Amino acid sequence: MKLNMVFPTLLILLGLIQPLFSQNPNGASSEELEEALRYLQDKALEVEIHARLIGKDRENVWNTESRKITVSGKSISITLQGENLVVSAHILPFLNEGGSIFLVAKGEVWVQQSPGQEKKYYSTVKSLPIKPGESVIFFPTGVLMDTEENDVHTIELEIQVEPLE
Amino acid sequence: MCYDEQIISAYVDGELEEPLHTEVQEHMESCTYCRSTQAEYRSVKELFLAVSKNPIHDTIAGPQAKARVWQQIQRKTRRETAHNFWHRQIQVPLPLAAGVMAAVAVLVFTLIFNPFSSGIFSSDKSDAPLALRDDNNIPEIPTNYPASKNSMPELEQLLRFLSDQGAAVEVKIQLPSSSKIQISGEPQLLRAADFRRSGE
Repeated sequence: MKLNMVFPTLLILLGLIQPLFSQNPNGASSEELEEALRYLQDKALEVEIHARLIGKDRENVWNTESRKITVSGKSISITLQGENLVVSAHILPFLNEGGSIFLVAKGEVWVQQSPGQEKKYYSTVKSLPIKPGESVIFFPTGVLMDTEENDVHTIELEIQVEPLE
Repeated sequence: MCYDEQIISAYVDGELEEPLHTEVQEHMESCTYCRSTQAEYRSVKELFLAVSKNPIHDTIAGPQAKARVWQQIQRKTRRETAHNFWHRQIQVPLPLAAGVMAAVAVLVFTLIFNPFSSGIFSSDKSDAPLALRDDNNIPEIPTNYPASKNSMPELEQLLRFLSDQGAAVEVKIQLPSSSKIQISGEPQLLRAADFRRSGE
């Protein structure tokens, strides 16, 4: 074989194997991938979470906020680690056909009221149909309207869910 | 029997030894063909001797002629070298040549058109396809989602895939250490507007 034949032969080979590479290993073409990504994007939701500690006279003693992106049907887990408890809240938004949102919140609490006492575990699931952008409040440790004690707090998670623009 | 040209050339140059020299000399007297060959060699020898006595580089045209000849030699050599490289015959077994070419082609194509790597050259690599990015917390798009060949993947299929990746969207919040949280009953999920109205 002459050297001047090597490069044309390589080009021909490249042309022959090119179709093998037009699909990914799972058999999905780039069009299918783009279509699936568009589908995912249509189902994407933005979740804004404001976590607050509420004290005596409903005073906001501490707060933080976070913004996450998920897809309809995929939960966001929020873990709050305190001195005497751990709260795990799972926010699961479903985007309905009409644009409304069905929100499911699961709360899990591990609490030890005082040192030496046994730890207790609570778990509850709550759900609520909401409009996009509507604020809901999840109280994983229950609703504390008021308290006389200065150092006792309750947790509020204010949640807003909107389709991702 | 005539002598070959090498022996006649040696005879002209006086390089033959006895008794061969005498034998060739006797043969020359009777052979016209060998005599003419001897005459040719002798004239060439005389020409060389004349040139060596009056060398060309001593004349005025010598350096120019030498340079011209040298240029032509260089030009021809260069052209022949390039020509020979591309037309060089290489001996490679056909299966080996085919294998090497296929490997090179695959390598070249993979480097240029690799659709699976967010690039070979990308530095933003993560083992988890849906790991959160630090900049804006947008999940990375999986590249190996389970698409069916003929239809768009179903939502359940996608969600199952996302769950299988174990890439949950998580927020971890550390509460202030001085806070004591009180359990005040069952967890509640309320509309903010309803809750604020009830508190007023």
